[in-house]
Amino acid sequence: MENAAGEALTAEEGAILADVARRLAAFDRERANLIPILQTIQNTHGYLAPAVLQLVARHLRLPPSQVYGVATFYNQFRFHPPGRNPIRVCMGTACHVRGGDIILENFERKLEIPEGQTTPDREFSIERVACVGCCALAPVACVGETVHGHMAPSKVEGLILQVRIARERAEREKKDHADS
Amino acid sequence: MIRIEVDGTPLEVAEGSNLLATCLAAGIYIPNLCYMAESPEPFAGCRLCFVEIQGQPAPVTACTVAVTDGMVVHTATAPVRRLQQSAFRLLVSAHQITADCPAHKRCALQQVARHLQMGLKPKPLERVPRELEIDTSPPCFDLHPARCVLCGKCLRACQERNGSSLLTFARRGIQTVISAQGLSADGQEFTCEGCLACAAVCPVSAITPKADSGHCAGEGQGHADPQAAGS
Repeated sequence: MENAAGEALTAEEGAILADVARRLAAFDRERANLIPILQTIQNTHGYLAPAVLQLVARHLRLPPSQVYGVATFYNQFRFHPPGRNPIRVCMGTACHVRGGDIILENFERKLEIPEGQTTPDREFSIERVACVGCCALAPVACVGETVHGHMAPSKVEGLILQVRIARERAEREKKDHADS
Repeated sequence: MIRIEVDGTPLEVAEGSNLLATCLAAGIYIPNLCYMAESPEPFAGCRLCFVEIQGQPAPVTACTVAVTDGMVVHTATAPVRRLQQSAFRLLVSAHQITADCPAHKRCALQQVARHLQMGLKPKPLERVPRELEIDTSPPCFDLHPARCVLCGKCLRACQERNGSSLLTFARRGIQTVISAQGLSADGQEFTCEGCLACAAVCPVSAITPKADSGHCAGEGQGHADPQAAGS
């Protein structure tokens, strides 16, 4: 199988496509089903790959561009696989006032990816969110499930390093276990 | 036939015809980018074709008005110009202007600027150039989103001709672009046959036929001349 760009599919993408094809069979070929289908795929796989959109378009007999147009209109749909440590930077009113956009920019620069994308090693992804509910701690960023308040540009690198170190330690311990 | 009056000129027109089309046909230019006579519904997205109609409290878009008997229309009052100038400034503030643009000298935006006696600078607004790459993936044409004014004519032309549009608006708000995502020539259900209706109708050359589009059954050669609409 090949994807839209003509590249050979990875095993992971192949598995997603097979699963999506199976799930699509449950939906009638009506355009009203477009958003429920996209939501189902996003919920099970975490993102919408280009090849998946093509598959949905063919199922609903819609031009692929229209499926893409609908999917990109809504913030709830992602087009890149989520990272193991999704970073969510708050852009709510309080965080905005306290310079949330600078924090976001710092994450983008340090990880060398724009908001909405995932690092090539799948370790981090960056998202902007509107309020995580602790405005007193503004500006706020969440790494995975952990909320980090009073963020400063200087703390960004530390947070990323922390995650990388924790991961290395976990790997080392796993190795030690396997050895002993 | 009924009588209307536009800027003091009496016109005799068919009842119920479109006001903008009527004026353009009579040689009275009203700035417009998104109007297409073939569309069943006016898009009314460019916000340039404002006119004042006697008896109405505020200027209205001419493309959404059907003429009625005795209608008195003014196309160049101060409130009308103010609205048109604001809309035009917003358009050019995000429009890429380059010397090598194929629409240069015949661009609908330049025509509007001349008519409103404005430059192509959005003063006093800032320029907010949209850093968007040229999409060369469609088989028969290239998309230049930085030039696009989002008038939506291309997707309506495609819809009109092919039953469903292969082009669409993607993303939203200030990030909205015309997209031909997934458009292919590989014999699937929705394949661009290269009629180039979209390129022909584009007022600003944001869709340009590929140089080597030999396999495309191009009808619309190059670019519709906005001057044909009147002036």
